[in-house]
Amino acid sequence: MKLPLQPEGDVDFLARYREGDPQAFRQLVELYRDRMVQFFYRLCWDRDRAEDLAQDLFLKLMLGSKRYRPEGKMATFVYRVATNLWIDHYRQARPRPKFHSFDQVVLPNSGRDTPLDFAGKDTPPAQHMADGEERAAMRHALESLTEPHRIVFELAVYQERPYGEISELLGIPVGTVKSRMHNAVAALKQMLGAAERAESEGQKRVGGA
Amino acid sequence: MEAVATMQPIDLLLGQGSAEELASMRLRVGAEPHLAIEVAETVALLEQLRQCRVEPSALYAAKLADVVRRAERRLQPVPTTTWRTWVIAAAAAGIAFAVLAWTDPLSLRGPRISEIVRSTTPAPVVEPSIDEALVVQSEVARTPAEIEVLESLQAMRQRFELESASRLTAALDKALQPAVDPLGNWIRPRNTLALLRLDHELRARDDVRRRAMLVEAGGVLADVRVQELADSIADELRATLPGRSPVELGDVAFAVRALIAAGAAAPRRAKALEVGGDWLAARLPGSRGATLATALAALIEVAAVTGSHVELVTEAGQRLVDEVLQADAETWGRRRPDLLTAHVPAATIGDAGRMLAVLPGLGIAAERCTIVRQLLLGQLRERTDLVDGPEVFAAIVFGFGDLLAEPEHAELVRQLRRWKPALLAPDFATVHQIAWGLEPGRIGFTRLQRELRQLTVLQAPERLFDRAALCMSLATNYAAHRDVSLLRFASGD
Repeated sequence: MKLPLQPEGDVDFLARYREGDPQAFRQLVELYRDRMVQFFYRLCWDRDRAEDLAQDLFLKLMLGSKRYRPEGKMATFVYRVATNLWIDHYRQARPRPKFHSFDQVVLPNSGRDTPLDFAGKDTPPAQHMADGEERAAMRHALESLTEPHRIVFELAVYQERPYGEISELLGIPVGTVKSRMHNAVAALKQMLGAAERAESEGQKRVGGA
Repeated sequence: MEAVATMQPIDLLLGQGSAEELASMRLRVGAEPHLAIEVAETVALLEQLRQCRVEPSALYAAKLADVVRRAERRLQPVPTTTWRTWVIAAAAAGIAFAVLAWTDPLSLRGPRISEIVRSTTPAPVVEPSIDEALVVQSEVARTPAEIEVLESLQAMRQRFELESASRLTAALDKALQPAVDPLGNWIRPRNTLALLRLDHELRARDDVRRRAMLVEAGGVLADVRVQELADSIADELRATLPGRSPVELGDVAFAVRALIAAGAAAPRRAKALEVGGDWLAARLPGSRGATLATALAALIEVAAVTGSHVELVTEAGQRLVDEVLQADAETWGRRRPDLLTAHVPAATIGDAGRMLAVLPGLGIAAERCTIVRQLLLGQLRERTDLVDGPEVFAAIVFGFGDLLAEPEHAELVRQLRRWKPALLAPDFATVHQIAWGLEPGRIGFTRLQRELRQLTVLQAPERLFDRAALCMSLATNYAAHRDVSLLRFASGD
């Protein structure tokens, strides 16, 4: 049997599964299992929930394989299902003060203008130690982005999806994807830069004391 | 409005744009030093942020393996059946039905045993029983409470099906079996609470404690050590609470339980018990899941021995049970309740199991507590499939011993003999659950008491939690066994 190939050379495992290849779904899971748990984790910051969402995703792919038509890329289809799953989950998890104006890059009270607290007031010290201060600062910075910016950043940087595909997945123009990406990067630089400056100033103070 | 952006360093690094745009951007970076610096900063940012990842749990692999199995099963061809097969099957079913209808082996036409019991015994609990809710089929109008129960059970079953959690499905089935002794299920916890108070008063007497030690193969030196540890715990609680020093809820909960185990009738300890109890009670309203269970495990004992915080404990106990049993879009719809997730320590689940066993004594429906206990037990059994550690076996025996069938109980006790208390130190929480879970009369009880005596020579651990767990481990002979009163040791008066 001729393997359905994707334009970029990837095998279309979903099409193969639909055609009756029993091994295809296993290979699809192998291909995406780590990527998807990381995708959901960086959106919800909860490992158990990320794993549940990834499991739901593969179940949806299995159930939806009959309706799948290998017209576009399989990866786009997988990310579309994942993105929709996250958006559904996000809507159900409301009310949470996360969605704001689409022009807003960083959530209010996220400390963009002030250096990040390495030993945060809300997070237990043990968790900070476990994560490592740098990881905690990165997580804080990523969490501070508003949902529209965070999902664009996640798809572009971590999942390495082209802007055109992200635009298709989220139903927004490519220009909007670009501007959200640029604003997210600028905000992250500012937040992490401020955090590093605060840390080095703190070290200087300790050294000088 | 978001402005349409021109090309920036991040686009270059991610390779986003046409070949011409990327080439032109590279030229600009070569020509403009500030742009080159910006590219370098962006590279550093991406390198830094790419470290943000999580290590999936062992359960994740199992969940995905199950999805794959289901996917592969879907492809298996369904065996085709001929009309003749259908006719034979229908005839066989008809004959079987006729025979069963004639002989009525389960006496279904007679009155149900549970109905007889209900008609002759005053019902202690006014809430609708789960059993009744399940039996209701169509002709009886359902109350909102019954509908909620049915919906929750359906959501649980769907989640277990989705996760292929066969252990939990079996646990739910077991929990929904009709109660053998509904009245006893209510009276026993009340008796246990009453005995807790009586035994606590008796524990204040040196002679009772030491007689208990001698009769149950303990040692008098162990009692001396218990009392020393309890004094230091009482001093630390009074010095730390309710001040501003950061204290872990688990530490205070264990400290309070250790004081009760050692006997807290003396004024110095009674004050510490009061301070610790008040501190925990103040944290009950904001607690949930594992934290709530930990606090309740201590406060239910405080309520039993001092009579304080009873209403608060009842309300919080009800909330804990509801947290597990009430389904909504998130709980059961999307994931299990917090207390049933893999990140809750086994020892906490064991504590929750033991606490839920006496919660009906405060008026909470026994059958609801039993369902939660069976689910927690199922969760621990799930863990035994993945890990072979003493903490899981100990938690099962300690928190759920009364729910186990005898062969399983004996096997778990046998497994636990592989680990010696002195070698488990400083994990005294596990030692405590092993020691308290093994009842007198079981194989290995005397040997365990001998091994526990070895702990008397250990230095007092620095952390309050460990010290309290060591204290409780050594107090086993007069504090652990709830169904056997210390009265028998006071009879020499």
